[in-house]
Amino acid sequence: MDFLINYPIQNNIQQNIPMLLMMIPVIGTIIAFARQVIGIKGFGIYIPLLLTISFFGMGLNYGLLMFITVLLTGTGLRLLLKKPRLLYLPRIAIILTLITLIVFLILQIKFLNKIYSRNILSILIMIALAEKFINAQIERGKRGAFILTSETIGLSILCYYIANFKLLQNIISAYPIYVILTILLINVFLGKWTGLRISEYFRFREAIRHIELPKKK
Amino acid sequence: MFTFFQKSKYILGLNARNLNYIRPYNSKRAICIADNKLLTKYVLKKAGLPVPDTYAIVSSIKELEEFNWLNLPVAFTLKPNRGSLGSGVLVVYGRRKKPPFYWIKANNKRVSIENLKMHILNILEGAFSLNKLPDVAFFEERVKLLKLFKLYTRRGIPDIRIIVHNLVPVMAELRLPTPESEGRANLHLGAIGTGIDVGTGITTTAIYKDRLIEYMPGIKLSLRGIKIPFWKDILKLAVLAQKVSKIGFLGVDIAIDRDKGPMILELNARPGLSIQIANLAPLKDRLERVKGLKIPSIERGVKIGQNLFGGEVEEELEEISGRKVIGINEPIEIIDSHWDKHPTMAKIDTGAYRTALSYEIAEKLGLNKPIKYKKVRSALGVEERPIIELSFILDKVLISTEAFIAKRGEMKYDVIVGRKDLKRFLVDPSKNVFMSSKEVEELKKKYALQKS
Repeated sequence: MDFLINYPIQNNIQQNIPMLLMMIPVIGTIIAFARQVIGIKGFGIYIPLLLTISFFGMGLNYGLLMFITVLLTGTGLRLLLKKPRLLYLPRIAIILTLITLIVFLILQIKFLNKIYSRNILSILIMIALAEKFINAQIERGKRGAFILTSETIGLSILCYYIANFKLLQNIISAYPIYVILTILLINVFLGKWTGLRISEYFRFREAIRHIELPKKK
Repeated sequence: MFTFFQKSKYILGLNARNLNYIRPYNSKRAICIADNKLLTKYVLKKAGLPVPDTYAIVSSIKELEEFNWLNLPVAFTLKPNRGSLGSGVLVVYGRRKKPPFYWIKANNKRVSIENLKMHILNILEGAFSLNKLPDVAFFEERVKLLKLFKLYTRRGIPDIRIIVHNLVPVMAELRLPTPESEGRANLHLGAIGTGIDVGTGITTTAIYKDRLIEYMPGIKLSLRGIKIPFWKDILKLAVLAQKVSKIGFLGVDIAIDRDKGPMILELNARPGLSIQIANLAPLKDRLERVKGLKIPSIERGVKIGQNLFGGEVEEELEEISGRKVIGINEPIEIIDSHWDKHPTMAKIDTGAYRTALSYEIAEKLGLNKPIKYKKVRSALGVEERPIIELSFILDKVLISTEAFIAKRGEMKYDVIVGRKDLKRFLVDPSKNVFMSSKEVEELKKKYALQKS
């Protein structure tokens, strides 16, 4: 039963790799649940997933610090680059270049370097993700982008905590097959769920209040 | 709280919309038509439905460089072909007469040729398109604002969103652009939405950013009770659009041009759900009610929609005034000499003072016992007409009165109810209007059957 977890260990692969692998279905399910049942839109499944994984490497605090730095510099650069009219892709490439420069400067600080240099892949993911968030600002305006960004970050933090939950980790390492089956089942249920999302109860509250129930016969 | 959750079952949420309506009723091909504005226009135009003219299409950077800006009219809208939710739509409503001939945007900002070029480049790159793929830009005729709507919008054109399912118009909403929405009629961009009574085309409640409002923001102008002109034609257009496009769960956007009348702006295969807030009515419930109905003709579909989903305005009026709203043709029960009820159709005529009963019916029911005679001036000169005592039930109200007996040979109606007996009603001249005598005869029979 445990071959999914044991096989890699027997083959001298680091133990946290199968654990990390198993996190993808778990996080995916949490995100699906958040969208279909709670109504948190976020950026689909891919971006919050990547963000959570990048948090894993460097811990939540430093991860958030780095991501918010990347976002703020990205936003600032976007506003600066509004004046010289540039086409979209070159503009984004310039922004990403400058973000990279700033990250490079941050890495010059000794004690931050210690934490971040071990997780350089996570930082690369964050810089790459910046494009999506900047695009949201262009497309949805200030308010829309702010809501979407905070929803996504919130969702990633939630995923981070759930994935770091010891009991869950123990269950996963003990019964990986059952966990996968449960996850599949939950997602089939979510995929057939046609009820209102929790956010929709709030959104349609006025309309709901005005509905007249048919009289019982 | 329990009833709140029970009631919420009638609301259509995003999950149910996607799974129960868009998936089964909107085929990939149909969605393709709706997502491609130029294709939509082509399909509709081919079927003879009115759409705004396309002035020019720009599909490549080369075409953009060679574009003749002088040919552009004073007012136009610039749209991305595959844009969604109103993004990337630029509405231009005028042009300065002095060089360098700036155009003016809906929010009063200037637009130069350079701005337009930049905007088109962004469109071509796919900045606004659904899946970020390269897109095509086109210039479209800007619909001319109807006088009626001048009070409600200064820039931009209001449009009417109608949800059609199974060839029945199910719910409707008037969308009024605001300066904030930059002339676009999309609610999430800051436009105002008002619910419309499907039966009459009169606006009911209004929302702004998903919240209920009573007046136009900034001015004390009620958003309630706006009567939308050409209502029946608009509903018919919406149903026709469904028939042509075969989009089973469809949101049709229709605007009314000052000169050309109603025309279809866009089709939407994933219509938004806030229309339920604007109408304070649940969509799921309405959709369920028209599901599976056999709709033989467009007119029938329109009529069913009007009958099923109209009447909210009337009920409200009745509540305020304490009087019932009746139409031009109403079922009536005449009480004969034996106190039996005799159902038929009556014509409501506010031009006449007294109610008139046809001679044949009076004789048949044993009511032709004149209690007095009265001289009346008519087209034929002065004549004396008999008056009888008459009781009838109109819309559940018993009325006892004195009525004329009219010997006018062929009368389309057995009874004409005059204003003397209408004091407890409000007459809506646009309700229940049937002109041909055939229709009236059919109704008479139907009503008689119903009662017996």
